[in-house]
Amino acid sequence: MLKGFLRHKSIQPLTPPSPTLRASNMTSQEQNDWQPELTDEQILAFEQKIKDEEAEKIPLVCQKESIDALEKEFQDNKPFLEKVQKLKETNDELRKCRGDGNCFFRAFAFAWFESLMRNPHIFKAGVEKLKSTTELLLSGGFQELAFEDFYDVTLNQLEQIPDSDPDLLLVNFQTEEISNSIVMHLRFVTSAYLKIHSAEYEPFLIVESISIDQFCAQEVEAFGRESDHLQITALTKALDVPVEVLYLDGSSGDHVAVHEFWPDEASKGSRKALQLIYRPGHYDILYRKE
Amino acid sequence: MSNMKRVQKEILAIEQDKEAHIEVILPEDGSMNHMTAKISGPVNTPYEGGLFTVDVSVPPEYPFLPPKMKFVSRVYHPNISSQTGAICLDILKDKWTPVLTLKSALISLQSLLSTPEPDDPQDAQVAAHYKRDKEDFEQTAKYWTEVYANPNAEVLPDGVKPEALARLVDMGFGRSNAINALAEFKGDEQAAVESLL
Repeated sequence: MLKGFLRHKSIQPLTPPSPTLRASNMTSQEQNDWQPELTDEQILAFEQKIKDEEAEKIPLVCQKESIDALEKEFQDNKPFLEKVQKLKETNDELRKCRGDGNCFFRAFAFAWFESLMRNPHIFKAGVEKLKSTTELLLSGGFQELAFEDFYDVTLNQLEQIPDSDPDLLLVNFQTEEISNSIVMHLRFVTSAYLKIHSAEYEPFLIVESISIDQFCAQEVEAFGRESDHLQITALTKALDVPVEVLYLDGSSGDHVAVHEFWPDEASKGSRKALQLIYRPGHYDILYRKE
Repeated sequence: MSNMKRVQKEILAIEQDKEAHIEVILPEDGSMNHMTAKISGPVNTPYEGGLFTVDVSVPPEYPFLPPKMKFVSRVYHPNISSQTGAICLDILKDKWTPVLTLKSALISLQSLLSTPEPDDPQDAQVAAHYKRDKEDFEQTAKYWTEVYANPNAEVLPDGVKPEALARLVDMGFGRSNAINALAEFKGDEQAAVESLL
């Protein structure tokens, strides 16, 4: 049974159980214990409906907008508002992504592709890095069967960049089949990287007392599962793409905490990191003032 | 359907793997979103020797969403509905990830047969039976395997249900006589018994 929140809700059973072959030696107590409840299929359908309704509110990746949108969002929340106002000194725009649990991967992918479009001199290295991920996935124990379709879509989208434009890139990232395949490929890459470097990352999982493999299956490979430090660290290293995450939270003062994820300390400062903005439970893309 | 390529490759992989004891039968119309699988019952379980038919349908969102599977053969198992064949298995629900395949899901069904989890039941009656008297449960499960998942079972005429046939044979009637009688009376057990007496 699903452990879903709807589990206790009762509805009519599909068909009452009838006496069956040799199963009739059941006590009347057991017969009475049989409680009708929502089937797992009904629970899944209901949860899917909630997700779909949520999804229809905004595209997978939105148009860029002024950072004033954040001010509006937090107008009644002083600690957040102060930080947003401080942020306006360095950043002027943001791009929202749908809050479907994939927002980190989607925001990362879009910001990465966009940076390769704007900086042709790093494009080739980006393609090479992406091509090297098939080897990484095979070493991580993934079956080609399970990842090749997602990989093909991702590589195809990346290779189009020199002949593409920002509008087309956005349209493609708003197309579920393309956008979700890219998200899935990045999830697999993250998972493979963590598995290969498990000795390094397993200590971070001591509190949850689960293995890297379990963590990857539950939190990384599962489509729609939210991401945290471990996923960000692994992905930035696997693809050699630095990221800065600016954290908005309820702490006092106007200081925005910046968490830097550099693939290696040596390259720090030599190139520009992608910027994401995080507020509890959600990532969007942030743009610096030009 | 965009996932056809993957499904096609997955089916090919199942066909090439003779060790897994899994067979997939595609419908004649060539569609790939609905198929029938046959899995063997694991050894040292009440399901040993059985060949179980599983209905598999692949949603358009596959592999982001899990395939839908249910037993067509009736199975006596705490995590499988004895009425509908619905399966309670986490990887077919909230634990599904696109890393998994039709083959790994079908293999998981085999291991579900080996390791029932009566505390998370799909069929509360069967689970209660399992917890109350495991030996008696196993006898029933074995009997169901012989009756409903017998790979050597002859094709029965229309209207002849294997469970009705089994009851008549249990009463002491000859098997072929019982089949003929049931066929003659279109599955009406009482009429068949009267004609045999």
